[in-house]
Amino acid sequence: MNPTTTTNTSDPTPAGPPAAPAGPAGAPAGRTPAQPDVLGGWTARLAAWGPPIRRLLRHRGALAGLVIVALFVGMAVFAPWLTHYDPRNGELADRLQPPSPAHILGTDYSGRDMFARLVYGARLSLEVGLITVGLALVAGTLWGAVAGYVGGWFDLFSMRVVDVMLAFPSLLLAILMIAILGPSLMNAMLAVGVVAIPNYVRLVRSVVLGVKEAEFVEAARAEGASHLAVLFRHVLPNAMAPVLVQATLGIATAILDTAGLSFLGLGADARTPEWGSMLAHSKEYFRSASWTMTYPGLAIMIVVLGFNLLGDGLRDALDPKLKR
Amino acid sequence: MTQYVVRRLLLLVPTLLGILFVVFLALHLIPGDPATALLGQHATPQSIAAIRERLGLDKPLPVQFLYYLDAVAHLDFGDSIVTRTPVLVELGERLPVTVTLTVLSMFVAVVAGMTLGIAAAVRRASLVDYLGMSVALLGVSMPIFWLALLMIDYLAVQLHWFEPTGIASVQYLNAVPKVTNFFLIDSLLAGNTSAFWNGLWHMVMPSLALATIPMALIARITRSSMLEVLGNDYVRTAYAKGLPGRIVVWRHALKNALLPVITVIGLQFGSLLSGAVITESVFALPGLGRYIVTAIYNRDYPAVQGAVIVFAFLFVILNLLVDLLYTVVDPRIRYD
Repeated sequence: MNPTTTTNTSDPTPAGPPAAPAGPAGAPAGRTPAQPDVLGGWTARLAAWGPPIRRLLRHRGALAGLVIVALFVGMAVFAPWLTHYDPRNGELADRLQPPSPAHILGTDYSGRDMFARLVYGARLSLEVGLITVGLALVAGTLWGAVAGYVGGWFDLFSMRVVDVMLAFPSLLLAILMIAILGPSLMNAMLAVGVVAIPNYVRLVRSVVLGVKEAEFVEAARAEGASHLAVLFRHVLPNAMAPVLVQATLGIATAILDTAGLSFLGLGADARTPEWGSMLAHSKEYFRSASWTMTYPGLAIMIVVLGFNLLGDGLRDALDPKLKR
Repeated sequence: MTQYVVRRLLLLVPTLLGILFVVFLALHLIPGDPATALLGQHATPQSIAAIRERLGLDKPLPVQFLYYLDAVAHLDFGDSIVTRTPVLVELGERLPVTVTLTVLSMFVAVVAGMTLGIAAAVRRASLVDYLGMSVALLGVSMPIFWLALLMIDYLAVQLHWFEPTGIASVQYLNAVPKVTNFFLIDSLLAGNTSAFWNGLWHMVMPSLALATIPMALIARITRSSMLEVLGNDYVRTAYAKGLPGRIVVWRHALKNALLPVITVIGLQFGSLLSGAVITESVFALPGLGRYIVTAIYNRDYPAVQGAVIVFAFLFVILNLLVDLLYTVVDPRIRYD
């Protein structure tokens, strides 16, 4: 199989209805007719990821993003090995200590070790990113795929629902959900995740509309494959690349928005080592203990930057024609 | 064109109905009975039944929705549970602050973002380009609540360049009679220019903080769009016939590079209004965003729903204006 053909060609193969606009990453993907499926197509599919991965590793920005994300994930995973301090409880006697060998980034207003809180905060932010984006991705992809594939009144109804969701500024819709569910980190994550669903619905639907009338789909149907099999094995894989880009950039947004909600007091509480909530509760101590406010902010910025760089790089690598 | 505008306005109706339906439903999903919430825990069953009847809570849900639509059509959002004043009056005082903040931020974002983007494109691969795009990349990733706190601490508290919080100093707030509720406009109407400058000075830091992310995105799209246009033959021809670079860039290239930029500008209103919630909270600006957050803390649901509706309607209208702006910028787009 020609390895370059499996990536996003911006050739829309528009036999069906025109694809809806699908956000910045949403070039409708087309796939050339499938070759004989020797190993279920998986080897060919894997091989097709070779060139994009090579392009990704040559992309300076993406590489920097990858390093940041790797460090962040490492911090999150190995948190208990990186510090022996308790991130939730501190000694009041040690409050607002400047950085020292004992507390390398100092302590906060209730004597908790800042480094420990940052490291465990990474763990929390990683959870936030994965859970919110996971929720939005799974729900949005399924919804968009079914809407695009089935069409008809379900599609029409789905698109109206999506329109209404997008008629709210995103953080506002999240805030409305939190007003109903009550402020907590879990609810903030849920809200940020639900609010992101429409992005995936639109993206996946447009890809599905672009390929569902393609010859290889017809061929699969003619061979007797069920609708479900066609949708999951032949149609949806085309949405992989744009969804991956959207998800990577989505993690950045999710971390930023959840931190913002916690900062407003609508997410994590004061004990939880969440970066946004750490900022909110240390703002009174800035003059006397600037480190309590500097590091959580820096941490958010660097991690978000990492996912943004990686997402941009992925987009360039997966879709050379879109390269800017 | 008129036909298109009318059609767009008609298309607004289902969206607005959808927004109202979501907010209505949200209100009904909130645990607890509104009648009890209104009367308190010690109300008698009779008085609760009476208020349920008065509020129409004993009717089926679709009927209640119609009642609700009727009330909203009359701009009746109910009274705030906390202050007992009509929510509409409170919204009327707060909306102007949010609009002022959003408009000023958009102005900063567009001017700074496009300047940065054009400079980076014209001097591609120069120091300006690298520096500008690094700033843009950092801007996209900036937690604005953190940036806002840093601004307050460095620029206001330590250097005394700006006022840390509020929309104007107290002596001016009381000196300007409220006409439009837009402090900047009211101060001009009253002929009080020092109040105007004071108010504008207060808005500098909030506008800069809120403008960060849109500015960065506008800079990036302007750069890429300009680069594409600058590579065209007609631009080379313009240079070849001896036109000064300034004219080629501003008169020839920019015009054609503008369309994607406007699309991105339009998309930024969502992030601006979302960001306004955070910015108003940090800078203690009495706008809609801070109003909502306070209302949620207080479980003041009439206030929450009124503010959410106004916010969403504002967003929808801004999006419509951006769509209409396309026709002005690009006469090739015809909507009939």
